[in-house]
Formats: sequence, C-alpha cells, structure tokens
Amino acid sequence: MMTKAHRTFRPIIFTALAAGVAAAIASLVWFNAYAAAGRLLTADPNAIPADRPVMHRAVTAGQAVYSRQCASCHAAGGQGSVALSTPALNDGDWLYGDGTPAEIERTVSYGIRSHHARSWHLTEMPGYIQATASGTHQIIPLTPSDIRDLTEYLMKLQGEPGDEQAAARGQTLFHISAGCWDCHARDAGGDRATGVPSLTDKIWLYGKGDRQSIFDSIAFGHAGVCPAWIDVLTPAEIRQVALYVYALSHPEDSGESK
Amino acid sequence: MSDTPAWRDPTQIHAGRSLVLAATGAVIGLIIAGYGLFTARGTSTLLVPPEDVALVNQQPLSRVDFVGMLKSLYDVDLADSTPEQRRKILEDMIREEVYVQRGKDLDLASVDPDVRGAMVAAVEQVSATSAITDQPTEDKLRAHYDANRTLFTSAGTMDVRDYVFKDAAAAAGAVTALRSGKPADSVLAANGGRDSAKVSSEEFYFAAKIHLGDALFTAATAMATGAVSEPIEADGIHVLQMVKNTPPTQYTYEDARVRVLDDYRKKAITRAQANMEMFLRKRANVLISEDLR
Repeated sequence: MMTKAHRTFRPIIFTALAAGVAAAIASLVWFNAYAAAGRLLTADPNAIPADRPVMHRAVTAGQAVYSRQCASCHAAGGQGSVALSTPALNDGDWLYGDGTPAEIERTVSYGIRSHHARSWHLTEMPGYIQATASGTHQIIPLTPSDIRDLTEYLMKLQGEPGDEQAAARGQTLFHISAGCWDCHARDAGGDRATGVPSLTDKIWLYGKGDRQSIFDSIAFGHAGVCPAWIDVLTPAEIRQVALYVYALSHPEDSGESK
Repeated sequence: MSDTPAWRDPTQIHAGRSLVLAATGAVIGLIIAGYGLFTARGTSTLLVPPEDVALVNQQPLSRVDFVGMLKSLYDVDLADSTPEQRRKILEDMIREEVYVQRGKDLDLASVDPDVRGAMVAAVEQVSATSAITDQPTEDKLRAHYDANRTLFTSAGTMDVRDYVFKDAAAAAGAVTALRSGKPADSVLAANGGRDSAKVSSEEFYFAAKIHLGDALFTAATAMATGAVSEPIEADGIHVLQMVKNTPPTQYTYEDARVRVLDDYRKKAITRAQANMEMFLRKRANVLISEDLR
C-alpha cells in the first residue's frame, strides 16, 4: 500500500532520475567531443587529410573559425585580395613552406612578422629609396634609373616585352650591386624556407605585376604581416582552421564523401 | 492522520529539520573550503593535454613546436619519424624547459645582461603581438590616411645641377646667361664658376637632400623643370639649374592602402609599447636615490 510519503517522493525521484539521465547524456556528448578533439590534436597533422571522417569534421569546424578570423583579409573563399595585398590560400602557391597542414598550423599559431618570437620573420623586402635600404644588411640605396632598369629585368623574367638594354643593366644590378639575388636566389625563384617570393611565376602579392607597382615595391619595400593566433584561438581551433586552409587548395582531401 | 513523525514528513513544514539541513550544508561547505585552502598545491594535473607533448613541472611543451622541430631537424612528418627521432626532440625540449625553469629559480634576469636584454625584447614583442592581432577597420585606416596624407605619395625625383661661384656678381651674370639658354660649360668658364658635382644624375628627393643640404634642396624642390635659380648663399654662392623635377604625387587611399596599413601598424605597435611601459611604471614602486631625484 502506497503511503502519503511515497506519493510525495515519487515525482522527486522521477525528476532526479531524469536529471541524472540528462547529465549522463551530456557527459557522454562532452566526453566524445573531448576525445575527438584529443584524437585531432594528437594525430600527425599531415596524416589527417587521409582520415576522411576526422578531416571532414575538422574542415567543417575550421570553416567557422576561418570565417571569423581569417576571411576579412584572405576573402571568404581564400582567394586573397589584390586590394588588401593578401595572398590567395586556394591556389597551391605557398610563400612559406610547402603548404602542408603542419606548416600552415605553424603559420596560424605564430604568424608572419607578428612580433611573436616564433613567427616567420627572417626576411623583409627593403625599401631602396632610403639612405640605408636595409639596416641589417647595409644595402645601398638605388637611383630612379636603377629601379627602372630592375623593373625592366623583372618584366623580362615574366616574359613581357620591354627595353632590352635596361633589362640587361637591371640583370647586372640584380646579381651584383642591388643584392636582390641574396634573398630571391640567382634564378629569381625565391625561397620558401624564408618566405621570399619567386619573381618568375607571374603571381604578385603587391599590385598586378605592372611596371608602376614593381617600381613601388622596390622603392618602398614590403613586410606583410599575419597575426599570431596562438593566444586567441584554442589548439583545436588552430588545427581545424589549418586543415580548412589546406583543404582550400586540396578539395579532394576535404573529407567530403564523393 | 499519518503516524510519521513530523520532521520526516516532507509535506509538513518543520523548523528543526530546516535548521539541521542548513547547518549540515554549511558544515560540509566549510570542510570542503578548508580542505582546499589548507592543502592547495596549485593547479596540478597528471594528464598531458592533447595539444602538448609533455608537461614539465606543469609547464606544457607544445605539440606544434614538437612537430616543427621534427621537420626542422630531420625533415620528417610526425607519422614518418622514428622513435629515436621523437625521443631526441622530446629530450631536447625537456632539457631546454628544465634549464629555463632553473634559470628562473636562479633569477638569472637579475644578474645576466643577456637574459635581461632578451626579456626586455620579449616583453616588447608581447605588446606588439597584441597590437598586430587587433585588425583595424577600413574606417580607421581611411582616417589614418587622411591624417597623414604626406606620407603616402610617390617618390619625388630631381636631376639638378649645382654651380658654385666666387662672388655674387659672377653668380648673377651666370644666372642671366643660363636663362638665355647658353651652354653651362661656357657660362661657368666665362664667370669663374664650377659644377659642385653633388648631384650628377636623376636622384630621389631624399638623396638630393642629403647631397645638396637643406637650404639648396628646399630651393630646388620649388623649381620647375628647366628653371635657373637666383644666386643662393649657402656655404658659397650657388646657382641651381633644374634639368628635371618630378615632385611626389599623392596616392589615392586605394593605391596606398598597403602602406597605410603598414604605417598604422607601426604606430599602433609604438603606442602599445608606450602604454605598456606607462602601465608598468605606474604599477612599479620605484624609489630613487636622493642625489638623483
């Protein structure tokens, strides 16, 4: 026979049981997410694209992070911006490293010339219209005609027609007095280990490769910046956005089922 | 009527029961708080977070750095690395961390000038990092452009000849002759002048300023192509003949945006570092010796 006390306690017991079940489900969901984040973070970043389910989840989450933190500069689809002089992230052409997820993750974490001690910051394009073009390398300034000659040489490297004699003088400047070869390499192919762009591939970060923008780049120099996100994003978010950026140029590795 | 005692019947209000339960809760709370307070050893965990490869005295060693060092030292990915390679990198990282921690224990910053310099540079970098992460809006950049328009111009160039004469009369005669179109060589010979050769070809404004000096450069910038100046007294009597003057032209905001952002960031970094120094100085208890006050 049910007493009054039993009748009173029954709804309390049911409520407590329901709360317990809800808490257990929430714990399971949280633990699953925690474990998934753990699997994502402990895996070799370069091996994740081959793991389609993990990659798919990471890319989906990374897209939200990208939209929030990166799209304002690199554009929504990662196509970059000529106006903002930000590089495309979807063309497979990388200024720093070879574009592996681990290298992208490092760039996202520490940035480029972000003033973080671990950022990419070994090189900087000096402006040649200063008394000392580069304080660290004691590079001498150039005259206007020197810069015009160098511009002609760079146009020639792109296969563009121009003043051959000026280009020949520019070639001498490139390889001797202006010291361009020291960073851009003898063949002007650049150096991905230090973030120095190739000058032969018709891919321009500043301007559209016309004479005026090349002249200005030599005259005023450049030092593009990408912030360090290590203190802003969580480790999981950094890896997710790195994998999303990787997938922009490797759509076949985005983890989506075909 | 139920025969259940009143204090056990939840349908009935019982002051004694409420008091006992409240007191019990308070005692349990005090016990937990006391235990936590008197046995606290700081936040400690036995689990290594997945984003790290190790904890050294609870100080994390980042997995990103671990993978980066594997790549730098052995040019291998994590998955392709051997256990020996991973162990070597991990041992190196742990060694560095324990030495850094020992350095903090020894308070090396107070005695080693290199450590002090590195710490000053690192703190400056921290404040610069936050300034860079804060992305300015287009409105802010445009306002910066409007406030500093003179910074965002093309580079002016000039090709100018600087002739030096013994006295003002000779210089005045040369000015008349040059303005009438006579060749410079014959004018110089007739008036006892010479080319200072300070500027021998087209130069950027900054270089011409260095070579000519402030007074002559200021006069030169106001001259049109083909013009001949009045005699100028500046460590001798000078006459300038402008072969070609191309003054700087103003860039539009759109054309100058990259330079605007660059300049904005540089100034933001300077401001952030100055603010940090001000904050640190304000917070510091600095006592200065009486003889230096």
